[in-house]
Amino acid sequence: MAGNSHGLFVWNGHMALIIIQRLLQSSLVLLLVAFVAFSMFRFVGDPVENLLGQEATLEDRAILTERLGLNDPLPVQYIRFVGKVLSWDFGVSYRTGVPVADMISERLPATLELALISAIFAMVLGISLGVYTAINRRGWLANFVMSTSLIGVSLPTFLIGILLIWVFSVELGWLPSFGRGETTDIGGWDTGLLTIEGLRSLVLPAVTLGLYQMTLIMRLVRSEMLEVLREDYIRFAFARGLHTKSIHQRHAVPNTLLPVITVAGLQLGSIIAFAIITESVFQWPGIGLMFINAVYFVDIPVMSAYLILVALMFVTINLIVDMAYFAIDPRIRSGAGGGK
Amino acid sequence: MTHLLDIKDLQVTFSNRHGDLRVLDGVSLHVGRGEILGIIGESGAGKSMTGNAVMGLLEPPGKITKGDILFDGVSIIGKAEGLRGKHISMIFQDPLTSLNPLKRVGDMLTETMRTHLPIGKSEAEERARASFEEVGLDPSRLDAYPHEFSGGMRQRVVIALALAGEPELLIADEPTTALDVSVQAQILELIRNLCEKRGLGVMLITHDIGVIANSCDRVAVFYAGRPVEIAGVSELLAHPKHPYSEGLIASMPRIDADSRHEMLRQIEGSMPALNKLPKGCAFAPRCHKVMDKCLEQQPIMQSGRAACWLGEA
Repeated sequence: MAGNSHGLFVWNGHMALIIIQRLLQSSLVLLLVAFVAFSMFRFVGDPVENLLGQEATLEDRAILTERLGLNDPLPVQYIRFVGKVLSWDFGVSYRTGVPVADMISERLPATLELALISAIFAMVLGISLGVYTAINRRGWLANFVMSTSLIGVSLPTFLIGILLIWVFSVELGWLPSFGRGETTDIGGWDTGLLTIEGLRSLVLPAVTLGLYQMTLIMRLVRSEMLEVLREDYIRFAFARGLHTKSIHQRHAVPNTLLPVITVAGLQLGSIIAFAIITESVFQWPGIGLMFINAVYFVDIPVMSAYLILVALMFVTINLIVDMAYFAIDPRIRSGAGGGK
Repeated sequence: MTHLLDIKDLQVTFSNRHGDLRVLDGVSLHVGRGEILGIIGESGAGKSMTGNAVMGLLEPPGKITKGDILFDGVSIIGKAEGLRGKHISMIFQDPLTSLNPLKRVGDMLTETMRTHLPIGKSEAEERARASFEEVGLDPSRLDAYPHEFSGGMRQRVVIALALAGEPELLIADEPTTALDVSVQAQILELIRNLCEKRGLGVMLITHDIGVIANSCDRVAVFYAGRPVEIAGVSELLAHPKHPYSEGLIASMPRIDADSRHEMLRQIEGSMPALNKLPKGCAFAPRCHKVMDKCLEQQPIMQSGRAACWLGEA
């Protein structure tokens, strides 16, 4: 057993090592995804034809092929592609002729705000309901919540969206059924969070997008919490007379949330990915809708940029999740590994 | 004089739709201040159940259906929650799982102290250091997390935590079972010392008669949900009155000269299921001294020694 100052040094070194390792893994994943995105250009349609149309002369085609560097060996093209992506250059949209990077920066705020609000909704409600239903396992309200949650898990997202529109927009007329409402531009970031209309427009899509994750997190938290409440250290906490409330809050909940972090992180990633459906239902001007439109028109640069972007977000979230474990679990921090 | 803990004719029943199961029946025993009462018996004999009943930690549907538990002369049935930690505390078998892995042990210690004692943060920290010293741990380790301690050290942390609210009674449920033998002896010695120094009453639950022999003042032998013999340790070891106690002692390996060539004896058979207890003495089917009377009538413990018809005849 090392002394404390020494111990500090050890886990710092250990931590740095893990972080470097994770960064390398993440880069590898992103390079692979970039390769898939790159291949799309080669194998889905002919880029020269896409750009020039079918009436172009052979000479025009040859010039363009040379200009696009398509005569270079494949690895050279791939490296050039990665280099461009690194400088945030995804090429020009086949359909609109606008640089894809501009399209993304115009639409990304909409998707990120939607995903953020959905994630907050899913986590806050999912965790509190999960803890509540675990503590009041036999209560009628907890049982009611549990059975209702089955609906959230089993209904497909688009159906929930349409149902919500029908109830809250068509029948009750309380909330808008499509678009972002009024937005405000803050230094290039187009936000809908500052106006009442923008916030009202967020409610239905955010609930639609987050409902499934919310019920999933709730059921996960509940079963984890029930498990933790049976642990010896909880019994011992009762035996030494700690108050029930503080046993739940300070001992049971942190141990419950530990395994939930991983799942919640992955869910956050899929919130962004699933946004495609919600954005279509609510005509939300985000990158999901942009992707769907790109698919209709085989707009390869947009599709490949979307692919890379989603992968980047997944990888980043995973990295944050790993770091979170360091912050929360002393056993991982010290590299003790294993063991409950 | 009132005993620190006085259990009178306690009965605990688990009821479900298949009927009632008496896991404890007719348990009477007492623990004095500064005394260690050992409770020994096989798995399922009701040792831990007795501890849980005193703590008010019976898992539903378990319920006290008869008898009384007096603490300092006052009945505590239904009121145990207010006494936990402050007057009665309990430690469990496995020190590896008894501590919250995410909290520093010092924080758990001050948290428990401040729950029970009217003290501020700095005084709690002061006391935490003192209590670490008392249980033989280096106070500089208060900042450590549970996983940074060995098993024996963790059980010391557990003991410090259990005693943080300065209780008068400690129920130790197999506190050394999960530890290796050399560490066992240290932990038992620690409990013995705390008992003498603080005047702490201890109910030491174990299935190891060696533990009883080394550390207890008196011992209650449990069989099928009730004590069958209660006596001073040396008296019980030398002259067991109940055939079951006799069997337990005979099954203990010894290293003195004349026993070296003897076979270790064991008690034939196993304890009956609690829902299939025989009519008379529960031990009768395994007893080598069984008499007709034993099969007919359940023996009652007379004047606090053994519940057996042998002594009566």
